[in-house]
Amino acid sequence: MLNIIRKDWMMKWYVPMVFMICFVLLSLVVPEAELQEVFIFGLMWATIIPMTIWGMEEKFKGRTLLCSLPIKRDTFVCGTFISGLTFMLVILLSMFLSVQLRIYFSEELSSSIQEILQLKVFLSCLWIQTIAVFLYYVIFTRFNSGVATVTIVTALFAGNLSLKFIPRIFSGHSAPGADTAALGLIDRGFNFIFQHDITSVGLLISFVLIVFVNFLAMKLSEFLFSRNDIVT
Amino acid sequence: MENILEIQSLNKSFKDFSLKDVSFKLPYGYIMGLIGPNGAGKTTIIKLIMNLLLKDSGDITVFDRDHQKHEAYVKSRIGFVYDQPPFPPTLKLDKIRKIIAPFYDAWDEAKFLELMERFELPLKRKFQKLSQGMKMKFALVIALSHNADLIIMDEPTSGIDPVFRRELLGILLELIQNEQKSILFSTHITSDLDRVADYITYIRKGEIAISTTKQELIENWGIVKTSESRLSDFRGGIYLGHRKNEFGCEILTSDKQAAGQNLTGEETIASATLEDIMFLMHEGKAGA
Repeated sequence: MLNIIRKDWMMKWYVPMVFMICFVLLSLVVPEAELQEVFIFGLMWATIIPMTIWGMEEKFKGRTLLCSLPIKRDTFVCGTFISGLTFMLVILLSMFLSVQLRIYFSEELSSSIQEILQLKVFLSCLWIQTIAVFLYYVIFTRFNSGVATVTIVTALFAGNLSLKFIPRIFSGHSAPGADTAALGLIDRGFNFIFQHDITSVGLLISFVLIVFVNFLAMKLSEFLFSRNDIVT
Repeated sequence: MENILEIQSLNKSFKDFSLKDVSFKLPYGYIMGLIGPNGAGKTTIIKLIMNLLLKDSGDITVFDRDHQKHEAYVKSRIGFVYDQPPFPPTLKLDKIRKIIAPFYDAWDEAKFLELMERFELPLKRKFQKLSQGMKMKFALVIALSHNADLIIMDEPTSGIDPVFRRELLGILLELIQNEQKSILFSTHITSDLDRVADYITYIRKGEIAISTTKQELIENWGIVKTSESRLSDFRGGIYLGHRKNEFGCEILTSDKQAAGQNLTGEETIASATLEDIMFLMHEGKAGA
């Protein structure tokens, strides 16, 4: 598995590097007021990086090459998945570090920057990425990057629509009345996962859940991939 | 432990093609040529052995082990050469080596460098800048650098010049001097097999038509040259196919000796080449 991660970094090191350079430069030059927007934009792109890595693998027949080397199929799935996550984590960490750098050089530390450096924000980012990666990787291993991308785009579109039509989900207030009990449950769930307006125990549980969802994605992908033809 | 590779009743279905009940064996220390027309199923068999495709049913045993249960072990002892090697095109050969070598415990760096020099491959050139022949050479270098016991090659001689083709065949013969190594390769070029193969497996429309030693084919298979009017006398049994030409008719037989007893004065019988066998057994020609 380490060989797969090593291979990916040797082959695709420039993908996160380009991103990181752009982000660091951007975070150093933008006005402090716009730093949060840049940060959020960076988070979105960080989610796309592992997907790009997996898509490139498919484009260059990396699957065929790796699966003819002495590794098991589940090692391939596991290795590729973790490799993608390492790219994402390195980017997330570099983003946080570059914002720290900006703060270090700033004369006045704005409250908005303090806000985005909290652990709960880091966990929120991980949740967004975990869900996106879960959706993408499972479909990618069963089908291909094209189908996975279409699914992600559709999910984003549907999510956007649902936010417009059911704004209460992210409002932070439970829906009143028996008929909206289910909606209230979803509401509280989202608050728990994304907003973390709770104790450090909640953050810990959230982190454990992130690890569990990633593990689930990996195992589900292994299961689906074991029933797949690698080449046509 | 006689056979390095054993395939029993292998089946695989696609929408428009099926591999039906394929069985053959390759003993240690021999070269087997897998021949057949385009789309016959040669590459499918190779991909099934490598577990790149999942079999519907049947057994594939490599080094006496199931190829799926012991996938990593089996692949560590196989050197695989693709018809289109899937190495990252933008990487230099040296970097590809750095990526692939750690996967093999038995990787032999000295051997790799020796083969690179022998095949005149530049370490610092990008894979996409290589000619088709050089790509094939590099794939072969990778396959040979981890001391594989079974070399599987899919159309290795297509797209390479006659000089290297001859050299490649020489390398294959060198390899099997070690009696624990075997080679399975698919090809269209039957003259390659005339030179090096010990076993021939001919596949047609997803089914094995012949799987035997080359010696058996040379000794027992033949072509009867006769007139078209005699065609009906040579149907069924040992007669496997025919072709008509301006001089009469050529009939393929799997028993030269028996066929010889039925000949009249003007008829002759000669040994069949692999190309004759492939052509005469091809679709539309069979069933004389």
